[in-house]
Amino acid sequence: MNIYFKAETNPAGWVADQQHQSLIQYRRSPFEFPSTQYESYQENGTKYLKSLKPISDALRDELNACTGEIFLSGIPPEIPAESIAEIAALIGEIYILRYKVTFSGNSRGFAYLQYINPTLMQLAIIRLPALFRQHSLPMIRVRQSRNSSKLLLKKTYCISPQNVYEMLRNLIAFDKLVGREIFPGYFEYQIIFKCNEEAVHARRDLLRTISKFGKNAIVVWDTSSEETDFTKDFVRCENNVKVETKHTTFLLPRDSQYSESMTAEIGFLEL
Amino acid sequence: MIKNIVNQYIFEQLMHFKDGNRCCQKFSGTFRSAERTAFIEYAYKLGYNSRPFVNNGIEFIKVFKKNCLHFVKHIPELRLSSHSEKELFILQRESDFIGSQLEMQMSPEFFSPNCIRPSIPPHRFSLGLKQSMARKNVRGQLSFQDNCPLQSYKIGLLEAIYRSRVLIVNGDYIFEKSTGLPMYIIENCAERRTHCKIICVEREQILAIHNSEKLSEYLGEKVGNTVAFQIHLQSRISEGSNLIYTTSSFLLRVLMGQSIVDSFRHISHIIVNDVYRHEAFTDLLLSELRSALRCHAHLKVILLSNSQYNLKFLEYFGEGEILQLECNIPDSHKSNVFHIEHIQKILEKDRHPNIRSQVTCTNNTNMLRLINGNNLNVDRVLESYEQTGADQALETFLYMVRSENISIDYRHSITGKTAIIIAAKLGNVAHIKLLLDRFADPYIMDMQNLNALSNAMAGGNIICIELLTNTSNMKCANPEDLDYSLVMDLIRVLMTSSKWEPGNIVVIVADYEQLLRINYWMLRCKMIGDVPQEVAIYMLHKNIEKDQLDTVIEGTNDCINIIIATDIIESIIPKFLINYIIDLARTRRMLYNSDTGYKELAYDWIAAEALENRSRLTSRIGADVKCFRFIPAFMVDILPKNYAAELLNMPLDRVCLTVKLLSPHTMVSEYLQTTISRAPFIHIHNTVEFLKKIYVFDELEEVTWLGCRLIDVPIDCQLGKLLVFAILLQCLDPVLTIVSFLSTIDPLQLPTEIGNKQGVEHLCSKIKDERKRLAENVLSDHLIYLRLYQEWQNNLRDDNPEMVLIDEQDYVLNGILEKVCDIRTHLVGALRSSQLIHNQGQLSMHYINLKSNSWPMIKATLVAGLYPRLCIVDTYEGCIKCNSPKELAIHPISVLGAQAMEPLNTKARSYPSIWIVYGNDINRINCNSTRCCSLVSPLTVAMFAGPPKIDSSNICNLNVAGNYFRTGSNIHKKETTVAVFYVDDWIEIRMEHTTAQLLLKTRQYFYSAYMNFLQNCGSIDKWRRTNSFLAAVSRLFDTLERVFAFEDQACGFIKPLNIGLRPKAVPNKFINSFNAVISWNGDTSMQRESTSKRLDLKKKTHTCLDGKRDFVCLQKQFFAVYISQPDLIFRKYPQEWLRDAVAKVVEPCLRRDRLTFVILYNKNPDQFCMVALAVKIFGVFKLQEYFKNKIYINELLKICSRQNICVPTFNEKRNAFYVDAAVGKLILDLFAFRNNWLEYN
Repeated sequence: MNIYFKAETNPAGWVADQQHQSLIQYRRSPFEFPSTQYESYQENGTKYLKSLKPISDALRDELNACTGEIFLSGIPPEIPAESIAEIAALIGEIYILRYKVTFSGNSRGFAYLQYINPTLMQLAIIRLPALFRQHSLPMIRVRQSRNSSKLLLKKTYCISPQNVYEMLRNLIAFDKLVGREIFPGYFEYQIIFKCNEEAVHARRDLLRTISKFGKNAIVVWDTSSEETDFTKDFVRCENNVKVETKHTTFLLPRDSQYSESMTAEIGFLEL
Repeated sequence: MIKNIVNQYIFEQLMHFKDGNRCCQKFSGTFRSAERTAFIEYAYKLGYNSRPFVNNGIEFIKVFKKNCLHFVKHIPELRLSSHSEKELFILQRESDFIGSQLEMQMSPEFFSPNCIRPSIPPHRFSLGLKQSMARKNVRGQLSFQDNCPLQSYKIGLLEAIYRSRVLIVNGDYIFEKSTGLPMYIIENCAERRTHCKIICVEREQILAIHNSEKLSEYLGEKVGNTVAFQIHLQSRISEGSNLIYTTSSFLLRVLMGQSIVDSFRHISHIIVNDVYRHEAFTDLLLSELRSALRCHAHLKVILLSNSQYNLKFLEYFGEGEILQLECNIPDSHKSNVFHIEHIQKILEKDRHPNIRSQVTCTNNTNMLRLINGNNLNVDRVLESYEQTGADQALETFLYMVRSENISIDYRHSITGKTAIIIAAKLGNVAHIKLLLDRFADPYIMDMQNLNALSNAMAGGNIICIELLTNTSNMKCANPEDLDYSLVMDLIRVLMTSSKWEPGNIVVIVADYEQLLRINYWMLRCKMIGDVPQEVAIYMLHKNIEKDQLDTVIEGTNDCINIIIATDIIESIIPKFLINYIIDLARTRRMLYNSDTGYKELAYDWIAAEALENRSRLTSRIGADVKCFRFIPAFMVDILPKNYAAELLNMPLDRVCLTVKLLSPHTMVSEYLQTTISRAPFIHIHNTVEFLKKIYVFDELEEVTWLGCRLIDVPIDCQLGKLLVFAILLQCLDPVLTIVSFLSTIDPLQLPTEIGNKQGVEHLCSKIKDERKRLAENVLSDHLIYLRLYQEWQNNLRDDNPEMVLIDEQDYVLNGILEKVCDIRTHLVGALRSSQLIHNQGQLSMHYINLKSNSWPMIKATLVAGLYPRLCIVDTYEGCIKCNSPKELAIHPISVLGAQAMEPLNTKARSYPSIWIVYGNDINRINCNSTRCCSLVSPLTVAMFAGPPKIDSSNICNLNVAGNYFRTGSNIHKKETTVAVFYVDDWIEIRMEHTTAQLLLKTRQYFYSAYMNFLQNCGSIDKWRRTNSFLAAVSRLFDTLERVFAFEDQACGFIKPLNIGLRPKAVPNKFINSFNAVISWNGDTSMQRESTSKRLDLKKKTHTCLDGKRDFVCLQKQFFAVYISQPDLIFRKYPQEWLRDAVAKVVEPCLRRDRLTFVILYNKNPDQFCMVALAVKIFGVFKLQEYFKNKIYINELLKICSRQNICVPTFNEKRNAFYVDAAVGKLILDLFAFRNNWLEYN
């Protein structure tokens, strides 16, 4: 991948010497409006800076499913999205920056970042803190995003997988449904969506009518690593449901307390 | 010499007071103590009560006349239990106790620590308003302009915009001005290559979203590109947007905290829709626009109107022009409007023979009322009125009418006399007038078949006779009174009679509650098969979601669409043709009465102009619409010509706050004189004083931090303040529920509709029982709301929602609860966005609900939040004392006033405390009555009532001698003196001196935490981790929780359990989905079998070509089915055996031209429990549950024996059998009309 590392090319003492140099000063930023490379828009509590560059459908789907997503937190309120994007762009070409703002347009302290090349994530997680420090923003923390495009539906006693599939299909639009038989007759369902946003909305819809799936049914975020090995054993319900009974190991219970970043995704309207 | 002058002066002052009409007066604190004693002596001589008073170190003498309602003879006492004293003491011994550092002198710094002046967090249009070039989108513009009704005016409009800075465009709804006009401007700007930023202000949020989506669709873009919207908490916008839809309240919010010059800098055009409605915030916006025009030479203001009275806008702006859009209304238009008299005639001609059979049944049983205690009371009042004829007796009756929802035409249960008959008999003209003004019916006959008129004639009083004869038709002139069955009959006739072509119907209702009722009646009508099955019912109001709105606009093909809508329909044009408009001609608004200070949600007629506008409501230009108005023709001429400005009579608290924040340096009253419609001065004054009292403004009318926070919580200031306290005192959830209930209609209100008298009394007693049950003896109305909400949510959690109707009350209750749930969710969003709640840290949902389970804490919160609304039960005089100008009484539906007629002094002795906090008060004839009362402990009052700033000068030691007072400064007596704590200029509490000091310090501590919270809640970092300050504060709250609990226990309050169950935020859309289930739905419709589907489709296309189609009511057939377990059936219906049994008998009889009802009954006890409709969907037999209730078989037997109908035997042996149509219909009606008519007993 052709990436230009400005910070890398400089000598080691560069950081100390030119701490306050701003890269944005003299040339026009590609992120500033009006721009030919990026579109900026705001939906509810999120400001988007999104690349206008045409990319392949496969890559876009992959990116939409939160691949290579980076979570930035600790952003001071007065820092605009553009300057974060400027700094982040030093590592590679940005696909999207989702910058959470208040009604005044100030930062809510966190943002999500994706590069067009998802593999840059690992590098960025290492490099970005240093870059932020160089730009006098040492308070910004960088880590991998825990957003996912999968939900887990649990504790649906007495409802057959076929029924669950039918009910879900009537309620929400999902990409894939994976059922796992935890012990005989008891299933957990992994609902896979195209992107995190869809999952967020579907979760809200699902929560509204959760009682349809039984008294104790719950929906939680599935944060297990991407393609789990378990999936081989699971029954996939894509177009038609075939249920085989196979005994799989019991899954480890996940953090019930989900990270705040996930709930904040929806913006203000979430309860 | 001086003494003489002083005495002379004092005497004069008192005589002045004596002659005035005030009941009590405060005499200023400039006197010395010797003069105060002189005051007391003189007052005593005059027989007046007097009392010294201290407020902020200034002493007053208050003198009360004999019957003054504000005088409490015995100063209420507070005695802390030893536990609580200990707790408070320990708290103050802590090293980090703030109050211990110094006697807090309540310096100015206390209110703005670090001298930060209150400032409002800015709201901005997202991404800032930058200049943006208009872009060409030829195809999009073309596709839009092709169907745009404004097309012929395009050039004229653009020229006019170019010519003048202020343009008023007047035209009908059908022109869709607020979408067409901005599109032309964008196109024009793109051609001229200029910048263009248009702000278009809509009336409701949903309209802003709707319009932006509609235009984006035309342009082939996503919302947020060229066309965007931003409203409170929602936006879809980008920097390049040329057209931004918003609402007036949001635009005003953006203007706050920045100068006019800045805020309008990049805006090229501002379009304000619906200015003629004179909504409060639109009027404020116009005033802001006027000043913006002074600094921005190129700003264009375009006002869209639909009224004949537009000149005043020109006058207001002092420039501009009016452009008139002509819509050729066909000449036949006038003849297509029918008033209620016509409607009655039409119905008589066309009436289906069996339409009102059930009503006629009820008429003969009208006199057989349920006798309850209440009726006896009313009887007694009427009797005493008849005997004495005194004003007071009538007043008592009238206030019962108002508060108890006794009908004004109440007939004495023995003599059958109504109040107006008695008044006519007495020949009292004033009384007759009073009664007629309240729409009493002079034509009701008493037992001797005499009505008011004949009585008046017998009396020979000519004026009386004239009065009575002149008011012939007043009965239907009461906007409160609506005959729902008449509306239904009309709809039925329109759909079934051959004289009227079947077509789509729009019913315009006043408000959400009426909408629910009409909806219920409509559903029932459809379900019992009184109208054809091809009916789709929709609801439309301002709080529906966008996708629901879309389905309404689409409608359903090939059937009759019925939209039940509030006045928002005037701005939304459905895609299908509207044939009939049924205009109920009513509106319901919150009104404020400045004399008494009460607010009232009242029905009223709409303006004549609004009637005109509604009758022209079409979906296509020139289409012919028939309009039915439920208002008598003669009333139309009396109605006001144009829309009444909201500012004139709405509660102004939010308006005043908005004004203050818009221009912080002008007085509110001054600013409100510059608006186009001017609010009455006294009204503004009262509101500002009230806001000062609850500390939204400070003494100098500067906005406080509280005011800055409340502006983003879209609810009354008082309720907003309550929420702030709930967050601080960590019991948000329950209080949020209470607030949501208080801000909407009371779901357990006594029924108001007089038109529908039959079951009212039965219903009243039912509601009262329900309230009593929910209150659990706790003596609080607020608990009722909590329990009601909890119960509702528990039922939802159970299983799939049952799609059945129980009765009207239940349906309306469900609807209101859904609304409450919506309000609740919305409020949480607002609190979050205004950063009063955070996502993590000390202000996260978890922490602010730590004390939700403590009922004493919740009560304390209520006291703090609802503060000036406190009153005392005076057990000696047996009445309620409070600080309001009018006398207060407890509303009879309150749990505190359950036996309202019983004298208070006997009952109140058993109350654990004498303090009552109340939610809202409604007007009565001579006193206000309070609703939503809760009894609270005196400690909570001492702790939280009053202004935040109270120092030791408000504590005054009391000499042991008792009746003689001195100030704290010159008393040096024994240690254990009694002190009086003056909370404000009315509340005073007697307590021990040490207790007072203890309380005062705790109080100051609390309020410093309160100020800190309000000021710093915006900076999330301060609350993220526990620091020493937060730890100290949370220790304070823990102590408070314990102390309140101790006090409650000591007073003898009952403690309810499980108060703080966290509710789910999962609204169940029962109401909407019910409409969808019952509505005709072409493909999955019940009567269609899969085999004949293709045939049907063919038929459909055929009928569509014709454009006409006959809709007919189907025949009905009935089956009865015995079930053994009544309770199970409600939960887990289809039981296999039942289905088999039913299917065997019923299925062969299913026919497409018949409705087949299945009635389920069981024998232990003997009752019918459900009515269901048997249908076949794609070949599968199914029972669709319709009505559920408990109806005893005996009831049916009685009616049948009276009407000579033979009844089959309902016993266990017969599983399923055919029931005769007459009996079946009767059972069906019994289910459907439950509580809408009197039971047959």
